[in-house]
Amino acid sequence: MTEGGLQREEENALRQRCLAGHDASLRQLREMFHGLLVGVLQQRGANPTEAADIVADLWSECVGDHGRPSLLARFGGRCALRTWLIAVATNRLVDVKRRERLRHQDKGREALTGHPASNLPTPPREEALTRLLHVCLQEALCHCDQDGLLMLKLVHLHGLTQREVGQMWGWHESKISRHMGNAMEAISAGTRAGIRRRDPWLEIGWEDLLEVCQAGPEGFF
Amino acid sequence: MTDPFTIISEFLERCGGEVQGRSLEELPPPEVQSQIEAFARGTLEASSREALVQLLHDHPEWIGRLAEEVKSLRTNPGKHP
Repeated sequence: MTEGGLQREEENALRQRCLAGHDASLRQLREMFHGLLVGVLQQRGANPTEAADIVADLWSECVGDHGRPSLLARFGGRCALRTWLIAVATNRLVDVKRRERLRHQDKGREALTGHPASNLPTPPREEALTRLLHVCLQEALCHCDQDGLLMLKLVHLHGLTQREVGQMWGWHESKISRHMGNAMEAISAGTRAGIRRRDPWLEIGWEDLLEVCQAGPEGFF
Repeated sequence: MTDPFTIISEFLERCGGEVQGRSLEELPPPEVQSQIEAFARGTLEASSREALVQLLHDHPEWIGRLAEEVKSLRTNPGKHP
């Protein structure tokens, strides 16, 4: 076992045993991750009851029954199982908080207008954080320095060197590096600000958001 | 470890975005292609750069063309249009 968790092969084997309904493996999974998930959810804005309920639901869905597949069947292996479970739990927390807010808003409107609340469907709970992150990232990319954004694309997505990009702009590569760093910082700050505007209770840092990006949206969209 | 920009780009692509420009390619008009080549060589005037940068973001597949132009200069630094 590596520091902080299982090797990927061991994770996969554990997951396969859980999918096969192996009780001891399901217990092992809970023992390994229950405390972590509850703790992370509370750090991210859940109260103790919300955290406990969300994680309990998550474990119950890891046991597939009566034709309903196990939640674990949706894990595609793009990241560590730990990262994926945290992303799933956080998505559900965002959904819980939003539904709660909607209920309060609907009750308020009903009290004011006397009309019943809207019955419009809300997006599935697994998508809540992923959709939020998608929207906020897109906004942050639109509002950051566009030269810096192009430099990031040329270097990280298209394999150019910072020196080559510097020659394009007529700048020294150190200036390119600063521009890229500033653009990336603006994307990070803009994304977090967008999330705070929409879900101010959610306490989640940039590194955690990157983990959510790595974990989703497979199986979510 | 994958850099953060690649992580968010891959996430946005999976969400249906068009960050890396892999969809069916629309060719740039001749005047834009000339600007792309000039930009690759470092001879594009700064006054024209802002508009071209925005155009490239609107057409991600053209960023790939720009990158290929720059890479072609690695083996042929004296390349002229």
